[in-house]
Amino acid sequence: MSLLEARNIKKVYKTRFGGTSVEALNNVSFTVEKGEYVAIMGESGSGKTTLLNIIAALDKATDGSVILDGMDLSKVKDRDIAKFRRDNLGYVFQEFNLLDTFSLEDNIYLPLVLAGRKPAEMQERLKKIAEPLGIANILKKYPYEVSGGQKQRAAVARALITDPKVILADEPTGALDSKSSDELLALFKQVNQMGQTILMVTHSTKAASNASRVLFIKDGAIFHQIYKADASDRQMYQKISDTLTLLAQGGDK
Amino acid sequence: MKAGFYPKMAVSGMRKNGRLYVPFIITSILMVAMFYILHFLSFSGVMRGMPGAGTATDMMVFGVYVMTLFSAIFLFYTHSTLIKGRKKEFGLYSILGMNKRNIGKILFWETAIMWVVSAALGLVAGIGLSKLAELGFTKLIAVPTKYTFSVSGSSAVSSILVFAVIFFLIYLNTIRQIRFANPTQLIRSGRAGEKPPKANYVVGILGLLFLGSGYFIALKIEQPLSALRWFFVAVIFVIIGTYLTLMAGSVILCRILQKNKKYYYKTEHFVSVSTMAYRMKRNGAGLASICILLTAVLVMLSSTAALYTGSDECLDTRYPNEVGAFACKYGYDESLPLQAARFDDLINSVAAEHGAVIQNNCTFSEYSISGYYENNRLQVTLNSMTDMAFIDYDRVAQIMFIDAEVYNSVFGHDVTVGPGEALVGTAKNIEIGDELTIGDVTFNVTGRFDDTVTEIDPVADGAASPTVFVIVNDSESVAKEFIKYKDYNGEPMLAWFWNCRFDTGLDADGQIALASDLSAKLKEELKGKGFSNYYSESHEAERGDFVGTFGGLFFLGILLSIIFLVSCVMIIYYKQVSEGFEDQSRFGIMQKVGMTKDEIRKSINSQMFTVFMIPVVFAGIHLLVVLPIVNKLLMLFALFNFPRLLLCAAICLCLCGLFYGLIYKATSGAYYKIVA
Ligand SMILES: Nc1ncnc2c1ncn2[C@@H]1O[C@H](COP(=O)(O)OP(=O)(O)O)[C@@H](O)[C@H]1O
Ligand SMILES: [Mg+2]
Repeated sequence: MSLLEARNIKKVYKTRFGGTSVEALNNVSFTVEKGEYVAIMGESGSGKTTLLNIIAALDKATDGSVILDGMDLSKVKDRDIAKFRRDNLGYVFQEFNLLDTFSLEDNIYLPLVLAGRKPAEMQERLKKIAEPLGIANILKKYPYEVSGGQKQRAAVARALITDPKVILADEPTGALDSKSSDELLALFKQVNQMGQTILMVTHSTKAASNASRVLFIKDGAIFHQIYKADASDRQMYQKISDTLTLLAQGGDK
Repeated sequence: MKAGFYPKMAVSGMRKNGRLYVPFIITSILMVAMFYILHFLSFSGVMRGMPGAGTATDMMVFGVYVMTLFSAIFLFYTHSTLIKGRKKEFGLYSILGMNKRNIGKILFWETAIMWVVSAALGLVAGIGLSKLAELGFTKLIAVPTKYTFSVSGSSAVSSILVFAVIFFLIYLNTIRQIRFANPTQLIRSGRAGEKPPKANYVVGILGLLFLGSGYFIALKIEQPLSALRWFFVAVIFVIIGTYLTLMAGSVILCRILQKNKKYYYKTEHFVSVSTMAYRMKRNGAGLASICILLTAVLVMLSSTAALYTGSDECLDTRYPNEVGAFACKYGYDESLPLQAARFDDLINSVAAEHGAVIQNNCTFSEYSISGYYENNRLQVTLNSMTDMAFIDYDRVAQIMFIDAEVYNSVFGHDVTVGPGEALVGTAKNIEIGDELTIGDVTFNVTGRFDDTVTEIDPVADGAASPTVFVIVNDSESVAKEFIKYKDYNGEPMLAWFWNCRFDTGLDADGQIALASDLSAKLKEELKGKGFSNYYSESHEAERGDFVGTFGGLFFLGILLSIIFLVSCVMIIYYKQVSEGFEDQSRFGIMQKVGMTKDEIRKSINSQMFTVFMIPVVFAGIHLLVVLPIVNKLLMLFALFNFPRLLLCAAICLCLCGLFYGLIYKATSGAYYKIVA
């Protein structure tokens, strides 16, 4: 059984005054196995964020279902959805979404505090991930005092600290300079190698070439997917570029 | 650039930020209105002629200063947070090619426009409200046109000038805020968010010190009138202390809570404590302002309510008998005993004319000398004027000498006092030992009658300075020892008082007629005899005055309270709206990270409740500390009823709490609407 399964997901946005409706997703289906590192690529406005939000239960699908580790998200009661999210998912956002009222440390602790964990346990968990993430010596700082890359690493720590089943990342390198992007991608790879399942949305070819599989989304549907298998990053990069060119030409696969 | 460019830019800038500017301008309009009304009451003399008018006016004048300070702090602080939110906009302007001078000009016009609007509308509001008050006085309480509120040019000019200064300071501060930043810094500052405040222990402790010493001074004051200056110092200290404590102390408290990991890392504390720590420095100013306003409202309402509801009581205390008369002459001459006898005849004849039967007659004369009392010794002459500067006004005492024989016959006692002996009585706790030296005459104190001193002077408890009644064997011969003392003007220090009060058995009109007749007769009798003061009064004639005066004060209290409370509403609204916009994205993030709507709501509620309670609790404590002084001040109005004051204070606290709760509820609706 797959860790994550998306079945025939449809999403229609209705504008407030009933007028036009936008079909953001149209029959999207795919699966993610445990330990996989999957990238989702597509043009801006192709529905990537919408898809990720539905998987994270931040948004509701108009039709279709998401099954995580055998649990149907649509069956989770509204009341329990937030708890479900913080126990099972780690979300990394493009714009970090750190709270400026908290130090980095407290930002990272937030999901654990919400889960009612003991301070000692929280400290223990943080100690394990802070060093590899390279944030051990800036934990007491506030978001406004650190760089974008450092913020994003703290956000990754916040996602990792709950030991989530899947990490969902929405263009995590989107707001970073190239050096910080490279560092973050290396980090994701490392985390994945330790067994963490990652689902990352991106429109950077370089970012996607790190993944073990890339899904291409166009006009609200999965258009194509390629596996990395034993290919190097460079070869993967080439494969992705080719697919993107194809996509841009609007041709069929 | 074209003429009118800057004003136009200024107007459009304010309009774009109307959400924040409108409440700010409304608040400053209200402050101008408050200032105008207070200034008018203090300086136009409308209060003249009321009993206790001097004190009330002093308090009002002080109120004007406090109001000025308060407006300055509040507007200054609010405006600087307002500008903080607009730094990005200014950054954009400078990238578009404006230099700091240009931006400064826009800001100048902004501030100038705000000043003009606030001053103009504030004056209209102030004058309108005072007209309303005048109508209220005459219609509701049916007080004769004693308090006519009219337009006062000097008050209007003062309001305009004072607020010109305040707005000019605001302008300077704004310039300072944008001066030391380059455009990119300005642009970034909007997004980067504010630094979380450091726990500033120095300021926090300073705040507590101010608060503590303010309380200490307030609680130590025995004689509110002579120590009015100290009372004002206490008020200023408490205000400063409140601001510092709420701004810095609360951050410190939050930081301490954050250090306690067991407490801090709990779902219900985590978010609220950190958010409060982040905000308190800014919120502190608003909360302190609310607290000061609430305290002022509570003090005004409870004291004037106590007076109004107790006006009959005051009247009865102040005028225990139906008719009273008084005469006073400085210096000594042989004719005085004879004069007393002539007074008796006069009263008897006037009473007879009016068909009155004199009952409960309490007529006596006494000699008086005042001086500086210390170590059982009354120093009648002070060495020099410089002594005056250092004297403790609570120790300026008045000594009244009364014959034992008079004391026995008039007040129904049976005491014997030998030559060189004295019985003493005083309402003030002034220490008198076994020997009492007055000038260079020493008496053996053979007894005390402090408990019954109100027999002689019914308002002794409320006297501004301590009065000591000394019962002696022969007051006339004692008085002769003091003829030699002269004051700085060469006038004699010794005085002779004649007091008279009695019941008549007549109806109200009869009493009033008798008193006024007596007054005329006294004038005829004493003309050209060197008396410094004499009058006759009646319980009934004073009734309307008392009810009117106290009703007027109560009305004033209500009026000012309404204005103060409206300012509170504006401050709270302002706080809720600006925080709502800040929290919008914050709660979005929390939800994404896995906080349930329920948890968010709980954390908002706990935060709101804490923030809601802080000013009320502080105002309650302030009120408790100040009540004893208020009670002493009320004694000057002849109200000796602390339980009544307590009751009024409790009722006012409940009412204000209720009102405050309601506005909080209403404005938190605005907040929820924004964050939801
Ligand atoms: N809340 C919304 N209401 C209406 N339309 C939306 C909303 N969110 C996204 N859309 C539309 O759905 C489509 C997909 O958006 P999104 O998932 O954000 O794309 P991507 O993340 O790939 O750039 C876009 O056409 C966008 O305009
Ligand atoms: Mg997107």
